[in-house]
This record gives sequence, C-alpha cells and structure tokens, in this order.
Amino acid sequence: MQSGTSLVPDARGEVQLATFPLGDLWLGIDIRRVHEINRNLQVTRVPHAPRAVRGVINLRGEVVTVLELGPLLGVKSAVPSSVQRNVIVTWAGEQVGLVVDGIADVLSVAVDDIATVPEHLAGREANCFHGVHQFDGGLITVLDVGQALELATRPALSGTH
Amino acid sequence: MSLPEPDEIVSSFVEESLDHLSAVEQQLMDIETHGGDIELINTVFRAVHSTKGTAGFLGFHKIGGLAHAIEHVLDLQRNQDLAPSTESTTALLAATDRLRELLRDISHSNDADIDGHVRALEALVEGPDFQAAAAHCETDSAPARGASEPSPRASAGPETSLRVSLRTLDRLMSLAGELVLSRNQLLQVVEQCEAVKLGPVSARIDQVTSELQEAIMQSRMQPLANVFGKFSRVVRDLSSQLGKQCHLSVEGKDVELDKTIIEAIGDPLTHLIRNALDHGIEAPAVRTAKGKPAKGTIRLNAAHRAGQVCISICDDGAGIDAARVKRKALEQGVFSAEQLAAMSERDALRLIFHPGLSTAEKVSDVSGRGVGMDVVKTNIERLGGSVELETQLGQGTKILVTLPLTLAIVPSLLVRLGNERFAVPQAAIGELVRIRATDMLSRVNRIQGAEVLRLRGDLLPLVRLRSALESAGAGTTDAACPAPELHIVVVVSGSLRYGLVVDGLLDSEEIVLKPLGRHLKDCPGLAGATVLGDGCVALILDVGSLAALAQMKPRAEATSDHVEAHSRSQSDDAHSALLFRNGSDEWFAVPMSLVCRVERIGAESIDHVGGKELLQYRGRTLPLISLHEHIRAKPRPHLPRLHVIVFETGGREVGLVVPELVDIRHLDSDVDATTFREPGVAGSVVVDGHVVRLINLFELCELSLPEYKETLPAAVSAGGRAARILLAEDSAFFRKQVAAFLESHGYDVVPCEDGSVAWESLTAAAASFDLVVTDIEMPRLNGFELCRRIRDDARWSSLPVIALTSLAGQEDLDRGREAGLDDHQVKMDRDRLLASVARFLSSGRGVPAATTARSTSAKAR
Repeated sequence: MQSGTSLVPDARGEVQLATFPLGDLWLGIDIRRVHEINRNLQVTRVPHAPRAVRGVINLRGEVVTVLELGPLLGVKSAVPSSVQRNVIVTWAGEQVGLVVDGIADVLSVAVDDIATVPEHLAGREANCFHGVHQFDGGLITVLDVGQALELATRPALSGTH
Repeated sequence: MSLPEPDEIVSSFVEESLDHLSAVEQQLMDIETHGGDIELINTVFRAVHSTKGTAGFLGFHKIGGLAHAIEHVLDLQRNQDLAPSTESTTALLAATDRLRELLRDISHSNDADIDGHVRALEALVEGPDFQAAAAHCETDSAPARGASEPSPRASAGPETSLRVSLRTLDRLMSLAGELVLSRNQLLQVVEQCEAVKLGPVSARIDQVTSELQEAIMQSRMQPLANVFGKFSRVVRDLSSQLGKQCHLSVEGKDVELDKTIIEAIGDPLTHLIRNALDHGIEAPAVRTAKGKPAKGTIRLNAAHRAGQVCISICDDGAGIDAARVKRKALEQGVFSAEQLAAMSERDALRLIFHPGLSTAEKVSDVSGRGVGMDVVKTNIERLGGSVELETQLGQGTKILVTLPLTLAIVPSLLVRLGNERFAVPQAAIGELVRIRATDMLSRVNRIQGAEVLRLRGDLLPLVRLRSALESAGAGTTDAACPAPELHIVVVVSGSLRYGLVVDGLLDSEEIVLKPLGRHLKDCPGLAGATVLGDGCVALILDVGSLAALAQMKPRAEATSDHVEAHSRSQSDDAHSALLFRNGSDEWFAVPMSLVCRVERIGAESIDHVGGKELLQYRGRTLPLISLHEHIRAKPRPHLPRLHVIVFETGGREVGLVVPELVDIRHLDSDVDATTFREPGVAGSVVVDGHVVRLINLFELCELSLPEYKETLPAAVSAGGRAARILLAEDSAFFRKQVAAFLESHGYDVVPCEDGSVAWESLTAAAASFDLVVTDIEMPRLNGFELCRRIRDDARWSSLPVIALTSLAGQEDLDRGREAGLDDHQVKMDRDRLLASVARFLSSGRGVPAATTARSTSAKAR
C-alpha cells in the first residue's frame, strides 16, 4: 500500500508549513494536516505498544494515540517534557498526536523549492520525508505524515529513546 | 416547492426497492414449500412490479428488464398457468439476488449483464428446454457474478442509516426536553451559589442521563431476525448443493442486539450453520441406515440469559469424533502424540478451534473456504462473546455462542496496578477474592512454576497483571516486595477461568468503550480504552488474550491435582456463603448461590420513602432491607460507604444493606437451627470462633416486603388435594428448611433422612406421591441411586424427580441426566425450586429442564 502523501501546492504553487524543533532537526508539517497543537501530554501508557507510541490521551472525549517522533526518525530529543508540544494531525480519518520539542513559525514555501532528501539524512528513515527546504535560517525537513505514521505501526521499530 | 435533486430520487428509489425486495427471498421459499399461495405470490409480484415501474421511469432499463422477466413468471404462477417448482424457485431467487445487486450498484446497472437470468426465466415460461437453459444460465452468469462479487461485499459494510421506531424517538425527545430543564435548573442554582439545592438537581440530571443513555441504546437495538432471516436460504441452497435434506428451525428472532453486533455476527453464524450442514448432517441414505429420519434438523435458537444473549446452533447429525480430531492434529503436526494422549476428550474437541486444523475429510468448497473455526472463535471473542461446543457422537453437535447485548457501554470494574487504572468488563468477572498476608502461604501455591490459588477446594491458576502486561525482562518484580495482601479478580473467558492479580480494586463503573487507534490495534491483552470521570484514559483488559500472554492453557491441564479439588467440591453439604459483619461483633452469612451481585454505594444515595429505604440504581428502584429492622440485630453503624447484596425474589431484585463484607467461605451443614432461630434467621454456625447467623433471605424479604410473596408461583394441587412431595435430605437443617418452605406454599411434604428411607416411604403400599425432591450426597442410598431405582420401576415412570445440590457442576448435571433426574435446583434457592416444582406438577415429566439447570450452573460459576 502506498501510504505516503504527496505535497499538494496551493494556487501560487506554495505549501504552508507549520515548523517545530525536534532534536537537531527543524521539522515542517503541511499545515492542512495539523488539527491543533496542545500541551496535553498526560498519557496513559499502553503495554505491548510499538516503541514509537508514547501512550494515549483523552482529546475531548476521544482516545487519541500519541507518537514519539524522536525514535521514529532516529533523532535524539533531550528537552524537558514541559517544553514539549503535542501536534495533533489527522490522517486516514484518525487523529494522532506527535510529540515535538516546541513550536516555531508557520512558513510559506514554494513546492519547487523543496529538494530531495540529501545524503546525510538518508540513513534516517529517509522515506518519511517529502524533502528538505533550504532557508536562510537553516534547513527545514518536510515530514511525510502518512509515511511516518505507517512506519510507527511496526511493532519492532528500533531507534534510540 | 422545489423538485428534489435527481440523486435524491435515485437513492430513495434504491432504498425503497431494496426494502420491498427484502422479504421476497423468504416469501419465494415459502411459496416453494406451501405450493402456490396466491396471496403470497401477489405480494412478491407487487414488490417486483413497483420496482419495475420506477426503474423504467428513471431510465434504469436493465433493472426494469430483469424485473419484468421476474414479474412475468410470477404472473403466470398467480394465474395458475405455471406451478411453483424447485427449478422456478431457484431461478427466481437467483434473479431477485441479481436485481438487488443491480440496485446496490445503481450507477453501473445499465452496463450489467442480465441475459442469463432473463433467459432462465423465459425458459421457465416456455417450459421444455428449461434444464438446458438453466445450465446455460449458470455458466453465463458466473463471470458476471464473479465480477460483481466485491460490490455487494463492499456495500454489506456498516450501513449508515437506521430505522428507529417512533416510540423510541418520542422517548428520546421527551428525555432531551427533561435534560434541558434540568440544565436550566442547574445553571440557576450555580448562579445563586445555593449549594444545598445542588443535590436534587444533580440527582435529576443523573437519572435523566441514564434514561437517555438507555433510550439511545434502545434505538440501536435490532432484532436477530435481520441475521436469522437469510439462513433459511443458506440451508436451502446448500442442502440441495450437497444432496442432503435439512430443515432449519429458528427460535428467538425477536431477541434484540446492538446494531454493531448484529452486523458482525452474520458471518460467523453463517459459517457455523454451513458447518453444521456440511460436516454435521449426514447424507439421507446414511441417516436412514442409522435409523434417523432422512431429513436432518438444525435448530437455531436465541435467548436472553443473564444480561447476555445466547445463540445455540444444534444439529442432529454425526457429531464430532474426538479421536478423529486428535488424529488430524497429529497428522498436521499441531500437537505431539504424547500431548494428545494426555488430552481429555473435551480438550480434544476444543482443538477444532485451533488455527490450522480442519477436520473435513475432504476439503469441499463449502467449508474449505479458508475460514476455520478459529476465525469464527476469534471474531466472536472480538465482540466480547464466547463459543462453547458440546457433541455426542452419532447424536449431533451443539454450539453455544454467547454475546453481549451491546458493545458501546460496558459495565466494568476498575482495578489498580501501580498508579495506573484498568477496566475489567463485569461480564468476565466471576468473583473478587482478597487474600490476607497471613493466609498467603496456605492459599497460594506454586505448581510447576505457575502460581495457583486454593479457592473453595478448587485450584485456580493465577496471572499477575503486572507480568502479563510487561514485556520480558522489564519492570519491577513482585518477589522483591511481597504485597501485604493479594487482590484477585476471578475472571471467566469461555472455558478459561483464572485469577487476575492486581494491586487494588476500585469502583465499578459503566464505561463507554472507545476503540484504540491503528497503532495499537495489535496490542494483546487490551479490548479498547475509555475516558474516566476525571478525564484520564483507562485501558480495558481483554481477559482472553491476557491469559494467552501469560501462556495459560485452558482448564484441566493447568490444575493437575484437579482430582483432589474435585472431590471436595463434590462434597455436597459444604455450602459457599458470603460472610459479613453488622457493626463490630455481629456476624452473618447468606448463601452465595442466591447472591446476584454485590454493589458498593455511598450512604447518601439511599432514599427514604414511606418508611422504606430505596436505592435509585441504573434507572430502576431497588428496595433495600436492613437487618436490624426485622431481626435481633444492632442498628448498622453510620458509614460513608456501604455494600448492598443484590438478590432476586419473585422475579424482582432486592438489596440487603451490609456494613462490612468479610469473606466467601465454605460452611458445613453443622447448623444449629434452634438457638438463634427467628423469622429471617435460619440458624447459626461457628466460623473461626465467631457465631455466624445464617440469613434466610426469602423470609427476611417476606418480613420486609410482604407484597412480594404474591408473585411466587401458586402451589399446584393434584386432583383436589394438596400435592404430595417426597423429600430426601440427610442434613437435618436443610431438610427442615426445604420442608418448611414447601409446606408454607401449600404442599404436603414427607421428609426422609436419606435415600433408603425415602425408597421405603415410596414403596410403602399406601403412599402415593406426586413429586420427589432429593439431595444428591446421602448415606446408604444417594440421590442418583434413588432416582435410578425410581426410573427402573414402571409404577413411577412418570414421577418427576428434582435434585437438590449446593453448586451443580456440568459433570453432576450430566450424571444426573443419566440417572433420570428431571431437574437440578440449588438448595437454598427457594424461588427456583418452587417454580420447578410447580412446573413439573402442572405439566408432568418430559418438560425440558435444560434451561433452569444451565442457568443454575452459570450462576454457580
């Protein structure tokens, strides 16, 4: 199954990216996928869950799975949990929370300016990314939410906690 | 007025036509069996005709064409120009199936191929070359049907609309109105900061909410007829395909279940029915040779039982040969020869639920479709149900499916593990046990590395929730910090029964089941999640897969000194009783067999109405009884929380308020029936140095709620005089008890102290009895023997014999049936015994006793 999603630009050929710090990455997520960002990280641990799952939370009456993006993408995250944020994305009709290290700006980026994933990222589950965007402030890695969530269903996911 | 959108017209046409056609299948089959019932043919004709009319108007010419061909045949039939036959019914059924397919995929209907069906129908009309045409039709339509196969499958998915009765809707509306009023009241009270008034308002909202919940659930309930309806067709088609003859009898179509369950249960049940027909029912020649009627019977029965729905599928076929199942398991390398040799027959039969084991000698296209019994079992268990199997070689097989009424709301017990809370569905809970540190050594043992609990003489395997939920090697160990006491939830899942060890027991709550997300779908041990009152998420445990995690095997194997355990549980006079204390120094007990359940309530939730105590409980009113108001007991102390022992009398539930629960214990029958005897107290025993008074719940209930007595079955007289009952019971205490309540209900009772005295009384020339009630375990002549003697004598062939037991196990029931016992009843369960006595006296022997006997044993579990 092709679970990845493609980046669909708007009329001006741009996508809006909500950006987040995560370890040494600057992560961009297509803003249309982001449902909300909150600090609701009081998770209930789920025994025998895949490693990337931190737990489940109550999001206004619904039980939502919260994923740890760090181990999923091979990134070491070391910020205290008080700084962390929970990005609720919608994918395949289900809401899922992604833990990131804080929030940054929303940027408009031309789809043509998003390049393929460079060599030094290739080892890190490269197919979880749509590509990278060079920016005067640095390098934004654009997350393919569908691929990342698909990867997280694998129970034996290895990675560093 | 604007015209409706074309799409709307089309979809309402589809809905309406499918609705019209839904009954046609059964009607066509009825026409086949009952010959040309003109009125019935007319009904089918009208349904097809109205479909044809609208289809033509909307331009769906293929649908119109097919409907026309069907209609033409029906027209001839109703004018009696063509007699309904198996052939015509087969063609009409196939054509109406196709018509429904076309309707479901309406947008492509004009490109569909209907020629095969039309030709087959035309051939019927023309007559002679029907056979050829029919054969033609089979080959012709096969690719077309094959191609359209996925589409009905897809559309058979969850329906999005639902018919709700107006009455339910009106009730919802009025409840919603009431809720709004209560909300307004609440807002007002909050605004005025009148804390005193909050109580009544919250009570009202509480009640309206539970009623609303119930009404909404009701709207989701659908009769099983929706599923059962299609089975007569399945049986008809399959038996002709297999060259067998079979009749399907269906009972309990009106039993209602939640829509989700109704939808999910169709496939597993179809599989079970096909199995019964394919593997169970023999070919007519084989049956006749065995002296059975050529036509087999499959009985499909649904009934409510203890808050669940039981569906049984019985066939009178060949039964399952345990030896053959073992042979298959060996051939397919699933088990070793040693393992199989050690396996009991019952366990061997259970192997058919094992993945990768098919016992069909040849794989037919009927049951060799890659769906095994293991899938059926998994699917039913996923719905929170269970499957049980009973079989008798040469006599038939019975499969019992138990299902919850709804999936949405699960009454559950919350348990604690560390700081985390988990929910255990009440339906899976047998009882709760607490083991004090001082009892730990004597009651918890290790057998082959596995922990077991000694529970009333039985050995119960234990599963530590902590280790079941932790992956290997992780986390804390229990051995490091021995808990001061052990909290055990005894859970039952299918044939599995074990004790789940948790850190603590919290409240019971009705929780709303929420599914877990896709990432957690495969987590073993969990059935879902729920949001608790404080907003936290708690996980719901799946006791079946938890046992698998702990690598537990089904019963019998796990309890190796089962024999010892069994001999004790058979000691008939040991009765399990619930011990409680009223205040500090007064001890009481009630027989466990009468306890429906125990609730923990806040003292403030007891209402006082007209001098009586009541509890508003799940939308109903539960009358409460307090001991000190009726017997010599001290008033109960003022405690913030109390227990209510809920029991049933005269078909209604009553609660006994109990300040402090102590334990569940076996009491022997050494009862002092004089010292403390008073109405409501049956006698006393000594337990651990305390005098424990045995409460007679029924007497107590009569004292407290005299009006309840009238609902009991009236005594049945025999030919103008009081019916005479012979009572054999060796324990003086029980003999007195049972005789007293039988006598108080107008029977003439002759008590005897054992089986042989009873036999003498029975054979004494002058005596004539209408019924025998006997204990099982008695000196000199036991109940089984007594019954056998009665059955062996022609004079008493029609004399009903009811056995009294403490707790009847399945084996006892089987043994009893062999001996010729008509029914089993629990000793202290006055209501059921009276009902059973009345039933046998009024309708004699031969009334199936299965229902009462089974419900007794279910309760005993």
